[in-house]
Amino acid sequence: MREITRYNYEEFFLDYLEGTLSSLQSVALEDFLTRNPDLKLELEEMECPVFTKDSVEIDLKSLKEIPFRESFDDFCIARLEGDLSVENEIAFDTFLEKNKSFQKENQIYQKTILHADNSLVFTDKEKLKRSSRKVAYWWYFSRIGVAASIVLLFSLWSILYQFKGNQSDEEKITAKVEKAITESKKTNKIKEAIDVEALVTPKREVVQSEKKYSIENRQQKTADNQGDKTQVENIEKVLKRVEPVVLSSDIKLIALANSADPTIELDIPKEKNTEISTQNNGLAQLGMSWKSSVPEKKAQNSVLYAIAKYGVDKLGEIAGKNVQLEKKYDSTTEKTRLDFNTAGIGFSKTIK
Amino acid sequence: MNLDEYNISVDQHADGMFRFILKSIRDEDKARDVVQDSFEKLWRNVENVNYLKVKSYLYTTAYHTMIDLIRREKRKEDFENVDVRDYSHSEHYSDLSEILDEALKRLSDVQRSVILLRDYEGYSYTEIAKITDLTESQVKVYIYRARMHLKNYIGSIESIV
Repeated sequence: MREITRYNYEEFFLDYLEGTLSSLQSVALEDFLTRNPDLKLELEEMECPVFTKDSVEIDLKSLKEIPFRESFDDFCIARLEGDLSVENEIAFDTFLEKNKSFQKENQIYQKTILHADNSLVFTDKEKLKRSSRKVAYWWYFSRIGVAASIVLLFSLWSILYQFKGNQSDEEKITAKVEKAITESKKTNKIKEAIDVEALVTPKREVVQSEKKYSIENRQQKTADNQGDKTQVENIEKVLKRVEPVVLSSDIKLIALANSADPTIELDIPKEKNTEISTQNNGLAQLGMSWKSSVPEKKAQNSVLYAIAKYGVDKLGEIAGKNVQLEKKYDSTTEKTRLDFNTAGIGFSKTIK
Repeated sequence: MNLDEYNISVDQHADGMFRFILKSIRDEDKARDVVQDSFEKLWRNVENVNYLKVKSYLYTTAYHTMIDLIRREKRKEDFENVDVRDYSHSEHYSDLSEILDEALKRLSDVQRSVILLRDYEGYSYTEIAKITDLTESQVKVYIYRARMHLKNYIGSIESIV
């Protein structure tokens, strides 16, 4: 049997009150209460009256009735919101049927339900809609791509021009002169575009001299040399006139070079020289400017050298000699020398 | 959510949102702006929004945009000391919708929003609570008070008529 202490006495008190303690336990409890008189009062307080069945009368009907009257607004709103249980809904509806006075108020609650006006529509739905993002990305990146391509092409093109520009001026201009001369002989349009007299006259002279050379013998050489001499003089004069015009258009320059009339001059103003020279540049074709790194004087000399070399080469062809005009750099003097190997060809001038 | 779902969302919810906002702030241009802003925000987050929850997202965005707008307007109103409602009141009603409209104007912003969400869109208390950042109990209380207010207003007008 467990000992009764101040920590578990409630359990024994309850059992005592219920009458479930054994005789031995009852003796022990009495002994405990003797030793603890303060707890005897507590036991007396715990002794509550026991109700008998006959003494309690419960109104079961009133318990089943839901307080619709007292909380009518709450039930109306709850019914409206669908918060009532099915049983309560039925009970509430029954209540309303039986109490007509409450029906009107409930009807007003029914009217508080808002109905959307479907005639109100958002008209700009199409503006809210989106097209494919991929298209947008493609469009975005394609624009960048096009821009990048343009920049890339422009860069490559500029580099190529720069590369071309780095070629020796001599080679470039010689090539241009030769090409232009060849074209001038072939193309009638070019002849029309430039001064016809200036172009045709020297050509005729050249052809005549060639004929003379092929027909006449060496004794008649002097007479031929007079023709050549005239030609050379013309070239010299032309060179003098060409000097101020540095980089004229190829055709006009050659026309001038072949001209027999020393009075013919290029009608290109000096101020336009730079502009004309830049016409060969691709940048100028795009309306942009570019200043050559080649000094102007150097360019002039290069042009003159090219024309002179071309003339000398042709002279060699006419004479059947290996006549050469060459530039040679002397490292000791650090100067460029111009060597003219006449290869036995002499110059003479008739004096009237 | 993909592009097609986004465009379907526009078709499905733009009108409802527009009505909700228009009834709340009574300014067509501003309501239109709020709807546009909401869809703009949706588009920016289109990849992060679940299509099944897009309606809730849209209404939440629209509601908060509208609340911001109302606050700004109120500040302006306080500054100017003008109460628009005083000028807009009229007791000549032709039908119930007009009476309700008038009664709706007299609700607080929160009460109006929750009851519109409840009646127009049929949202549950929980859904309204999420949209409006309120607790479910608060939503219930606001709806209760709004119904009471509407009922009293309608009752008073009917008794006058």
